[in-house]
Amino acid sequence: MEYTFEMMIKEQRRQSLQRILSCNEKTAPYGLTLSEAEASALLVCREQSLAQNQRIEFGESILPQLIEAFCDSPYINCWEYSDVLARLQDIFYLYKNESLDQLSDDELLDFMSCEFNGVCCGDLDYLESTCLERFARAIRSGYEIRAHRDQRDEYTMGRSGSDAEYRAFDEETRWEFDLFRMKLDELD
Amino acid sequence: MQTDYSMAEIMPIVAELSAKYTRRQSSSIPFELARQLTEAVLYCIRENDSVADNSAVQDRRSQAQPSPPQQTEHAIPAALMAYRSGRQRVLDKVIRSQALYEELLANFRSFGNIAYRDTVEQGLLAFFQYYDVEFAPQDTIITMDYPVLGNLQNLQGIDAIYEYLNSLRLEQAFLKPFPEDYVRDTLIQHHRDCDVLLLNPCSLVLRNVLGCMIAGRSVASGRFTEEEYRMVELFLVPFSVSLPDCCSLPGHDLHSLTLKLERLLLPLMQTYYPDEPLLFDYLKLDLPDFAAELITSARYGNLSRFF
Repeated sequence: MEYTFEMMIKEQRRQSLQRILSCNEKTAPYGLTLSEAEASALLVCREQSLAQNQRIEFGESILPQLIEAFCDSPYINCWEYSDVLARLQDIFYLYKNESLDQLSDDELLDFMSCEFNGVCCGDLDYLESTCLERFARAIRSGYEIRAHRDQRDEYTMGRSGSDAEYRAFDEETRWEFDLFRMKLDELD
Repeated sequence: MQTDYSMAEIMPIVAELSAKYTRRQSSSIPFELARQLTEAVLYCIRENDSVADNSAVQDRRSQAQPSPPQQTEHAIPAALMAYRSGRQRVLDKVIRSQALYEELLANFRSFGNIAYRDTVEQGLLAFFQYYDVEFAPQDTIITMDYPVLGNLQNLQGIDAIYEYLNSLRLEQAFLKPFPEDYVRDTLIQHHRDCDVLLLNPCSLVLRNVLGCMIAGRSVASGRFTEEEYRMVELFLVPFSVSLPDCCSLPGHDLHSLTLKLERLLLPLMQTYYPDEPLLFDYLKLDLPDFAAELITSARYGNLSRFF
């Protein structure tokens, strides 16, 4: 039987769908699951996003890793789960380009999940337009992330330290413990 | 690039190359990189398919299995075999080119021409430093500013460089018996700014030598005498029947003159360059242009640009 290119693509889509649905086993404890229709829609979004960002994926899509990275987020609920995943996927491909492919998938996903759950408080617009934009700009200017510099400290041991990474680019003044303690003392 | 292999056969190779490029740390790559890697695969496959004996390639295609998921472990797709074989050929060609380059550098003479010197000593060196056999074998990298006699426009990557090096080696072989002073005088006679122009010393010396043969004088520096110019003009008369009034040069006149120049060149090669069987075929590439310029120069009394 002649094995055509179209058959190869079809088989790849089928395997991708199965892989995404298998992620439900891990995400179900967090109350997040995808139906077959939602998973298929995500794969369609994936193709559109790849085309829009002029990228190509030969093997497995980034979706399973994306699901694994964000499934434990306190800011994602079951009603908007697939929409958030679609948006995160778009942001991921966009910033793979914006960072000139200098970040591996794991590094970018790690940064995204840390900041989404941290300084962004679940705000995708803030993640895309502010947080990642500043980070990507720094990468393009030659900034080397901690993982590349092999830096570790006792507070981030066991993690990549991405939450500390963004502090170097954060331009907003935020509440810090010492400031909070001082204000509390003033109230007393 | 055209190939006998289908996309279904090529894409898995590109996918594997992409995984190697990203060290399996990225699931996606930009279109531009995908295009580059696809061209790299096709370049290697074409390198394999360009061998003289294509029957081995056809045998492998007829024996190879297609690549569905249920393919057995031991059957290697024909495209993958062609790619691996082609990549090895590319590597072998790089090694041969490096050897050729070292041979060229050992006794290289640039005769004061800056482009000639810089192309050989710096440009080609940079090629070997930056040529990417694995992920961009199709890139020629350098512009090969120094003009050789052959047309290398249809070649890419190491193929272009290999032929370029062969051309340079043949030119140096031709120029080897000539004293430095004679070559320098010939270049300066052509143009006083010969050091900074993009010109080919081999071509200019060849033309001067052929002119000396036509005029019946020995090869030496110095301009021709009036009598010697007259000898050259007489030589050109049978090939310029339509001169001086017509504007275009008839093709048969040019072709006849080119053949005549080849008949002058051949015994010269056989006598003085018996160890360079390819030199005649290389130098005769310049003769059509020389024939056209000779007739034009004779028409306008400008033979002194050659002799």
